[in-house]
Amino acid sequence: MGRISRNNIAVKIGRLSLKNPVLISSGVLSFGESHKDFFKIDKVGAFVTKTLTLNEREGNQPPRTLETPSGMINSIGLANPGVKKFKQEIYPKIRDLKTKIILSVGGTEKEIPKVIEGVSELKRIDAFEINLSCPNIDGEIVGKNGRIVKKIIRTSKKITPLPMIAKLSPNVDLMDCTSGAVEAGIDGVCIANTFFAMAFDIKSRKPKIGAKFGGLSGPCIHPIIVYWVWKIYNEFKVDIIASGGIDSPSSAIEFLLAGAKAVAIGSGIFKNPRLHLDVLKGIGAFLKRV
Amino acid sequence: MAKFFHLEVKLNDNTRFKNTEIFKLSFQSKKISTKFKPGQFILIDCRENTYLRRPFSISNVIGEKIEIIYKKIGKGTENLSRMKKGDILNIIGPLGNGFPIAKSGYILIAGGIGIAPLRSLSRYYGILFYGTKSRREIVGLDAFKNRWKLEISTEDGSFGFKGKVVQLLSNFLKKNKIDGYTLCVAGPNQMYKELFHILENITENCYVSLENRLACGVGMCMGCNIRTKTGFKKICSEGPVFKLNEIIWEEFPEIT
Repeated sequence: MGRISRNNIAVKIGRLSLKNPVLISSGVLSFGESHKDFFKIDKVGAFVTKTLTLNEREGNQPPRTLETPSGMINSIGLANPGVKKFKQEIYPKIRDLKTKIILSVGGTEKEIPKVIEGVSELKRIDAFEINLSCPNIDGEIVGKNGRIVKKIIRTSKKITPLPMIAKLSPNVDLMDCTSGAVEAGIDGVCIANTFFAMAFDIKSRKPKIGAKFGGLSGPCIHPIIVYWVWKIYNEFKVDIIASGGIDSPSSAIEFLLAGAKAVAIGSGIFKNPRLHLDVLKGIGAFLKRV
Repeated sequence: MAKFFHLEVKLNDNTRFKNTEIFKLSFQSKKISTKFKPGQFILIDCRENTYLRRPFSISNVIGEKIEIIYKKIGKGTENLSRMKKGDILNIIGPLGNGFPIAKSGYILIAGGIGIAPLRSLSRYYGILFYGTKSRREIVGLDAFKNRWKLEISTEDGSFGFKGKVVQLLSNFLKKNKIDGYTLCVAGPNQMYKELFHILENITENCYVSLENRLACGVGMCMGCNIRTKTGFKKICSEGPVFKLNEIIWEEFPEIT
């Protein structure tokens, strides 16, 4: 800690300047095109969009969600409009956002650079988050080791000068993947995406999720992610956006103490639509006491 | 103008219907009463040991009084059932689309707790078909007074027709024409599937109020999508009311 000053909570993730260290995680509030006033999206340092893939994806068989003890499993399956529809129908609605827009991009190793290329002329995009870690594309983690992560980041960086964040998976070797991202010159890493998880209905004897399994998030994973943020920061000294089970200001501050530069609010926003605002206020108060 | 709100409201009332696991709670909300359309729902923070909010149909709005009829089935509703007059409820709503406005009367078909969303249509007129397991689970009829013809069924025969409400309706359809009526249905999935076949060649003007697990509840996370004839639709924002024959019933998930 100590990298955020007492009176000015602006931070930098690599080359990306944020007015404060609180972000909205990818996947929870779509592309920011709806209900901007209800969620006060403009107050955060950055809004990370739903992952955009080259072609439209309708997503997985329902049911796609399940509450678990202190958390939830999601199996959305990267449902998104695809590049063409995004540019025509969604992008015009997010141009007036007064927070940094980090576009999450995903798909196969070959598709990711094509998505970046496809949106390259859109001026309102401030940075990219490369989704190397979705657990819901047939259970195949795209960024499954450091070598592949390095390759994808290197190729992507050739196509765009914008700041780039790698969202990594805790289902594979996080240290190896971070190493690959850092070697490729990443601006920052987002630690981490969701854990493979599933549940059975004992009456029907079937999985409770339509696609059988999904990704686990929520307070139940928080202590695990705190560990990985701490270990990764100490090993690599890379700029980290920590994401995993924030449900209060103190759970966010723990990430900062572990070495994260910024924090991202995900599924916690469903129960508390003001969570990101509470966390922002809490971080400010905490820093004044340090 | 805001379509829905995040509010803290004071619980006025939270009473169990005698000998059942069904409860009715009420609170005042000018904001919700102004925006409300029958068929809409609210998301209630059910506090301890829950991670996500629970959705509840608004069962009726009288002036600024909002009524919710709910069944205690798990952790969230267990917590809710123990809340007392004066306690604060943290809610988001009103959400979702509503039932269509009928050109003439309604035919409502309620299976069990499905009476909850349909009861908000009691301000109109028509015929209510309502089936429960037994007499003590017949609730909420206080709202259906003069303008309604009531056809009740109980599975154990303790009141009205002995059998399921679908059979009661089926018998009615053999002797009566329903042209001009708007049908609205709420109940277990099995009931929707049976009605789909019964009504296939009789009327297209039938709407269902659906349930699914949801996360954000406001149309942004893509967690509650179900398959319809025109692609995946979000139950929370493009529903919960859909046309009966729009839904691909073979793929509709059984939620436990």
